[in-house]
Amino acid sequence: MTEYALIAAVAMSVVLFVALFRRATQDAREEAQAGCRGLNDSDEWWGFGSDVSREVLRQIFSQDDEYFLNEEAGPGTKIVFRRERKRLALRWIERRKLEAAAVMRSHRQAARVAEDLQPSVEMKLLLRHVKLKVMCEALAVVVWLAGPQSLHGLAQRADEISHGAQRLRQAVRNRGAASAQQAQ
Amino acid sequence: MNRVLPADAWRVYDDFRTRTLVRIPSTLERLIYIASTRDYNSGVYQHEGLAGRYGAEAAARALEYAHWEVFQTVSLLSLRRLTEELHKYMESSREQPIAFLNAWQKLEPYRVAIPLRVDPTIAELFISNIKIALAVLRHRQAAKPDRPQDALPPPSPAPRSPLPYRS
Repeated sequence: MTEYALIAAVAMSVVLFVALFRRATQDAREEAQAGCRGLNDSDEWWGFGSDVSREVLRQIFSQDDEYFLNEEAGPGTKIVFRRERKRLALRWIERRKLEAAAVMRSHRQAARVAEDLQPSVEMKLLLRHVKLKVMCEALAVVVWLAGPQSLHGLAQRADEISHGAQRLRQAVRNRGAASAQQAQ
Repeated sequence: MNRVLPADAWRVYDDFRTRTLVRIPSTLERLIYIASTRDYNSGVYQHEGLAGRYGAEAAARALEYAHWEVFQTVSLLSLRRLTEELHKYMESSREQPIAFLNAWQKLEPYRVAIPLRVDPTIAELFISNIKIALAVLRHRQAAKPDRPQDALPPPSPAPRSPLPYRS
């Protein structure tokens, strides 16, 4: 009887964990989508260079600001800071996932009509996409549980994979355009 | 950098940077000054002096670019630096610190300092950092020993700006 109760409790905990985690990431996804949509309505935003992108990432995922708050702020401010950073980090992760999904979607559409598909490149792109998705999910779980501080290395790796997939997709697109020109 | 700005707007930007922005001591003040040149309803930047010399369109583009650039700088400041910038700005406003903090925390006027075309992640980071910096300043303010109210200057009758005269 005790064993059944224990199993039921564990199962309930798992369900509760998954439900709460999905709720948190769902909020972040909706906020990320809304943020991108609002800006796309007006115009394309001006992108920053990769140095700035790395610096933004460092700020969200590093501990430097927390050290400052340990010296200067009260407990209430530190709680607000951790909540804000967690929210920012989850939104950043969701944005990377949305971007990765958009890259794959546009690539699938292009691949349907492409005549010079290279299996090795397709496999490489798919593997990067899967790797990015797995990393983002793992990152989201850890951020949700413990906050983004000290996860800078993992986030940077996910960012590099995301940019790598975009570059590869662009290279495939350029090659397709070049071969179409040659055919004409 | 040059790639987003045509040559005529680049000249305007250079003029604006060397003749106006350098006279503003802190980056946060620069940001607020540039944002104040933008029309709230249309989002178009207006500057009579620059428009008279170079044309309204080139002036607007240069101001938009300057806004984007300064915004990037402020958003990437560490919390420590941003808190100091905000503290300096609060002092230069000559408002009572508590009144300033109340207004900034409740009305969130810093949101109008965000450029229209900016990466959403950096805009969110900016808002988040300003909120935290304001909380730190309020904490510092609360930790200060009480001062008699009559020793403080009277509140200002009208908004005062530390920003320089627009050419």
